[in-house]
Amino acid sequence: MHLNGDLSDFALADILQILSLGRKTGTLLVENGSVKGRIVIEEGRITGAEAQPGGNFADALIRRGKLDTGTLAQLRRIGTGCPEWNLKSLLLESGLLNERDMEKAAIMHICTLVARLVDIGKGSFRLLLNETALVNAFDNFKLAEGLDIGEVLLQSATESDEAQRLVEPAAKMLSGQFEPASKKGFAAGAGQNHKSGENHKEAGRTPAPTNGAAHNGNVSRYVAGNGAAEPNEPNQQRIERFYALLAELSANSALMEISLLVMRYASEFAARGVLFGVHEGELHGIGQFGVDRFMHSHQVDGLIRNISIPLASDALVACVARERSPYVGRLPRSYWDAEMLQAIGGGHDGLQALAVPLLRNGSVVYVIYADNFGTSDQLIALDELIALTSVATLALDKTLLQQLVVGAEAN
Amino acid sequence: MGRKSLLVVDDSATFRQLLCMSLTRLEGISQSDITQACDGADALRKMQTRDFDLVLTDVMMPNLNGLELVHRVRSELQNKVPIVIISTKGEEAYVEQGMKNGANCYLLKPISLPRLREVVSGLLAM
Repeated sequence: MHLNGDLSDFALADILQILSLGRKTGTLLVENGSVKGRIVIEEGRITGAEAQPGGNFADALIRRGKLDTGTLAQLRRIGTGCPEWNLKSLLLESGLLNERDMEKAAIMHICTLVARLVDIGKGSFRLLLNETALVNAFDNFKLAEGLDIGEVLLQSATESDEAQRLVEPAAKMLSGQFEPASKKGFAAGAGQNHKSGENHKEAGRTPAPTNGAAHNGNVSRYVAGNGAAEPNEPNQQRIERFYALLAELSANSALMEISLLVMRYASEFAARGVLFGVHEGELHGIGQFGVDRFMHSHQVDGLIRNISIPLASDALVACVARERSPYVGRLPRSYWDAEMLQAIGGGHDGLQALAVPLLRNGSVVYVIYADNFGTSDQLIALDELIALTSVATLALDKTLLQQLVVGAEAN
Repeated sequence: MGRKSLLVVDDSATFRQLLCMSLTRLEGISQSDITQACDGADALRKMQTRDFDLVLTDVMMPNLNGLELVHRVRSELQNKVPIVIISTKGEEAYVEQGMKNGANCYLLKPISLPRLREVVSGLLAM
C-alpha cells in the first residue's frame, strides 16, 4: 500500500510519529526537487536513512574524517562484483573501523539525515508500507536495532537548540554595543541579492550600485561593526583599506591569489568563510578562514576540501554561482545549505551569510561564502562586495588574457 | 626497515585485497612487497620458489587449508618464516592446532589496523 501527500499538509515529524505509534514497517520517501530522501522504518523504529545526492553513510564518514576519498574508492573497487559485500563489511574486515565506531557513526548519520529531511518543509512524501530496502545498499546499511523515532526527533530539535545556543552568548554580550543594522536602513536578515532569484526573494533593500558606487563616504553604513571592522574605526581608515585591496586586486595576475584577496576582505567583517571552486557542475571546497575556530578538529582543511555541492542544487552558493550575483542576508534553509553547515558546523538559526561569485571570461570560477556564525553581527556590505567582485572579475579576465598572450608568443 | 616481502593467502579475493590494503597502510610496506596466493597449495608453490619475510594465511581454504599449510611449511620446507593465521575460526581447537603446527600468531577477523600493525611490525623485526 502506498500513501502520497504534500509536506505542507502533513509535517514529516508528525508522519514519523504516527508510524512510530502504530509500529509500522515501511519506507517514507521525501522529495523536494533537488533532494530525494528516504527513511526506513521497521516496527515503528528507524533502521536506515539515505538521501540523494550526497546523503550516503560513506559521505558522512568522509565528512567526519573517518574515511578518505582514496580509501573509499579503493573499497569500492574491492567490493565491485561482490554483492554480498557492502561498505560496512569492507570497513570492518579491513580493520579501518570497528563495530562500535561503525554503529556510532551510522546512528549519528541517520539522526542527522532524518533531522535534515524533517527540516525540508516543502515538497512531497510517499509512504511505501512494508518496503524496507535501501537504494544504495553498498554505501548505506540498516541498523540491526532501530532508533526510537521520538528520540531521533528530540535529538534533532536539541541539536538545533545547541547550535542556536552557540550564537546567543555572543549576541547577549554584544547587545546594546552596536546599533542594529535594521536601524541603519536595512532590514535585519533581509536577503540582498543583486538579481532576484526565487530563493533570494526576501525583504527589499535599496538597489545596490553595480559600478564602484561603494567608493563614496557611506561605505561604513553597510558594515554593522564586527571583527576587524570596529564600529568606531574612522571611515577613512576603512575606505583606505578597501581602496588598497582594490588596487592590489587590479595589480594581481595570479588566479588563486585574486580569490584569496577577496577572502581576506571577507574575513575582515565575517566570522568565517569558505572558498568554493566551480568545476564540472559542482562547487568544491578549496579553503577557509575562521572555520577552524569553531571546530575542534585538526582536519578542518580536509573537511572543507570534501565539501561538494551540485551547481544545480538549491544551495545558496549554487544559486549565487548560477545567477552570477552576490548575496547578503539570512542563509536560506535548504538541504544543501544544511549539508554545508554540517561540514563547517553550526545551525541555520540567526545565521547571516554572504556569497560572492568571481567570474573569469564570463564563467563563475569561484564562490566565496562567509557568515556571522558565533556573533550577532549583520553582514550587509553588499555594495562593497559588488565593487570588489567587479574588480576581481576584471583581474581574473586579465589573467586569462595574459595566458592567451603568453600562448600566442610561444607559438 | 628495508624492503620486506609478504605472502597473503586467502581463497577470497576480496579478503586478500582488503588485507593488502590494510598492510599497505603500515609503514614501509607497499603493494609491490605483497604476493597473493589463492589457497594453501598455491602458497606452498610460491614459497618453494622464493623467500618471504612474513606469511599471513586464512584457515578455511580449498586444496590445502591454512593449518595444513603451516604444518607443511615447517615440516617439508623446513622454512622458519613467521606465519600469522588470520581466521574467523576462533574455536580453541583451531587456535591450538595452528600454534602447534608452528604458527607464530593466531588472529581473529576482523583485525583492527593497530593490532595488525603491532603484529606485523613485531614479526618483521624478528
